[in-house]
Amino acid sequence: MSTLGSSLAEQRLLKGASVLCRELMVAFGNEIALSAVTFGVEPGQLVAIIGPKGAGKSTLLKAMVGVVPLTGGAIEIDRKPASQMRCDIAYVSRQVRIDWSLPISVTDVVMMGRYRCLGWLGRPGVEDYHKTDLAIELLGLTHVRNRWIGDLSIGQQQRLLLARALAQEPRVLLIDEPFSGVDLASRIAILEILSDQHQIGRTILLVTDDLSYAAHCDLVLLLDRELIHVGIPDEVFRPGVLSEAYDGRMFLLKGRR
Amino acid sequence: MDLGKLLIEPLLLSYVQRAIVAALLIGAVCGLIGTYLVSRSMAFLSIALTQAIFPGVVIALLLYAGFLVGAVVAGLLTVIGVGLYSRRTHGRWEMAIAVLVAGAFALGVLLFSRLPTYRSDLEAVLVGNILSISLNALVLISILAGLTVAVLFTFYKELLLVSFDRTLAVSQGWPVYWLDRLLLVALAATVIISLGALGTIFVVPLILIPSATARLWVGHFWSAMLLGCFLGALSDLAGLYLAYYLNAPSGATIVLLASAIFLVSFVVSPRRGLLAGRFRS
Repeated sequence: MSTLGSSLAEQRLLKGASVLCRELMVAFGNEIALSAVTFGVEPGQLVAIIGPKGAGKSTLLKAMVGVVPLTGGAIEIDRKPASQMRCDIAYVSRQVRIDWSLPISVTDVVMMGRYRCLGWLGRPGVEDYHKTDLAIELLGLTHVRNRWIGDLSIGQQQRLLLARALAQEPRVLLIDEPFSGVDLASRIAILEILSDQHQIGRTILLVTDDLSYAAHCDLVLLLDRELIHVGIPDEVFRPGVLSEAYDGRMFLLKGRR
Repeated sequence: MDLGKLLIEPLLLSYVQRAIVAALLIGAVCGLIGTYLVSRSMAFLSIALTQAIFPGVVIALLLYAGFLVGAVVAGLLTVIGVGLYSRRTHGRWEMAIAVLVAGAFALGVLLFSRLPTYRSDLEAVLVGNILSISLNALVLISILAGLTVAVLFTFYKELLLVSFDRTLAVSQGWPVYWLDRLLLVALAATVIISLGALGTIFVVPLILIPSATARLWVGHFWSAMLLGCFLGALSDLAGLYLAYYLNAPSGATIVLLASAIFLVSFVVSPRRGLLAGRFRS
């Protein structure tokens, strides 16, 4: 098990939290991005959220952390309202959405992950620097920790955002397209981290285009503005189910397992 | 030329003593807050603030009230105005500011043309005269500077978060709207205290240049903040002496020195300088 994982496991029983979404609706003016989305995730499950472009997958994650306002419905983390559980959820956005030209170092960014849990007047202490360093090490960014974020490659950027989320020690991890546009080395590193975190017991929800990865997850959510299907990969990866969302925009090649 | 004599002699004058205290405070605060103004909209906002405060200062001069009183009133109105307006337009600051600034500055210029010609007062409004800061003004500057520094240090991580990664701030549940207002108020306070020393034209350069210089030398935010603070105070102090001996507008001398320090750093810095790049390749 990774260094970060074992040290965390030592400190508290790191259990992922359960996630329950009820009748979620997100509307931007007249446009309905998501409607009637209801599903539940058990603690420690690895969930893949898939669907065609514009299906509202990113919107779902954003609504779960409050970046996008919910027009209707409720979200519960460990049976408590999500707004009270901010410290326990970490959100990793797509790396293309960040302004990478800002003059700030890798360490600064990773430390930001811990801010919520520090509270208003809290100052980062030795413990926080230690956890930040661990997260940076875990994602293989130690050699660039003092560099500005603009100097990083795309793969390193994605790893940086993941490091920040891990530094927060969240019980629920939300990741938007962790593999898009990253080089092979970063992809392998990220896959390893995700597998580690899954083993530790964190609840992970990730949006991905990579259906072969989704096939290995505990649960798959098929989304197209509304929830088409949620279930184990075998249930969802059936022609009838997939075509409902992808609507003729895909080819299904049947292989042997 | 005895350097010691050059440095000590002016210190015997009370107005220079006041100017030195003001220089250190103003330079430090400008350097500090400059580190947060990284987005284009914040840089634009600082320019807009100076221009919106301009008519306040002119009105104050017309009414023979203190320079600073006008600045404070205008500053408050601007901050509130931007706050109110941007709420209705869903946070579209830029539009709010462009409208306010154009109108306010135009008003200022109009009133300016009505001022009886007290030459030194007019010049001070535009380019600053740190050597003419009165004791009352110094007291006000000290209080505002103290408050601003206190706010920036107390809320440094929240303001950092809001300036550098708003999405993360929102997702972590921080009251982003109020933090924005807080930074805006701190910025307005900085502009107000700096007007006397630097004038409308040179306040923003002094806010932006020392922190830009600091970033040529250090990478971490906290170090950049402290270094910016130091460089701001240094530029102010050196600029003060230059203004004294050359009998020149202090805003100009201060910014000239700040720019010079920046230029040297730009070339020489091992981290980001031009020469460093050459050695690396």
